[in-house]
Amino acid sequence: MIHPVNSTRFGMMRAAAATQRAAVAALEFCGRRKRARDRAMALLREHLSDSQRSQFDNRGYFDVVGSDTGACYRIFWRRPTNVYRLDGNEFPMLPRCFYPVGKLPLADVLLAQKLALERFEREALAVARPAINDPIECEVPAQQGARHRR
Amino acid sequence: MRAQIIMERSGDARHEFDPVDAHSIAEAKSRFEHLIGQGYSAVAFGDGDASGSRITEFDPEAERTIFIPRLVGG
Repeated sequence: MIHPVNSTRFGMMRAAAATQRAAVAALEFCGRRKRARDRAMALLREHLSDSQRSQFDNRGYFDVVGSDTGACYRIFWRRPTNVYRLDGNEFPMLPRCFYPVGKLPLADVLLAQKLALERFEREALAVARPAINDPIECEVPAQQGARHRR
Repeated sequence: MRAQIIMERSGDARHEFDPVDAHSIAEAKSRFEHLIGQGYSAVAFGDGDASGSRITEFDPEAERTIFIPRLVGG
């Protein structure tokens, strides 16, 4: 027969071990997510032109030119609605909502949107839905924490 | 070596293949066709080419090919 004091002690030890396992799993999950974000960011930056990279670093967005219509789009570093067609004065109008399926890191989403607009614009716009024209707030990736309204 | 880069949850999966090895090319071609069949779009880049071009057929000469999952409206 197990003494009640020992039973309580075993219970506490089991709970402590479970907590430790959960903490290790959480740390591993965070590590995997950070690695995924870092890889995606490196891939995005590698495929931005110099001017796009400069815009992205300083303002948290970059502009692309549509392959079929020649229209200009601005892609913001944010979710969910982040693609805006620009008017003649480079003012963001007409938000368009489209993204690749799957839970991709944000940098991969931006790269997919950029490549789609620059290489197969009509196809991308065919699936895009107009979105609510909400105020555009985005973070500058290089200066996390600084928020900008445009 | 040439690379096939598949966008996924983990950031991206990279598969390299040797453009002069028939077995390696066949494997890469099979992966390409499988992904295109699943709805991915492929954009191929040459050496020093940042803009790329969309391809619908396997190109063993492309320095790297990025596979974009199917696009949907939000």
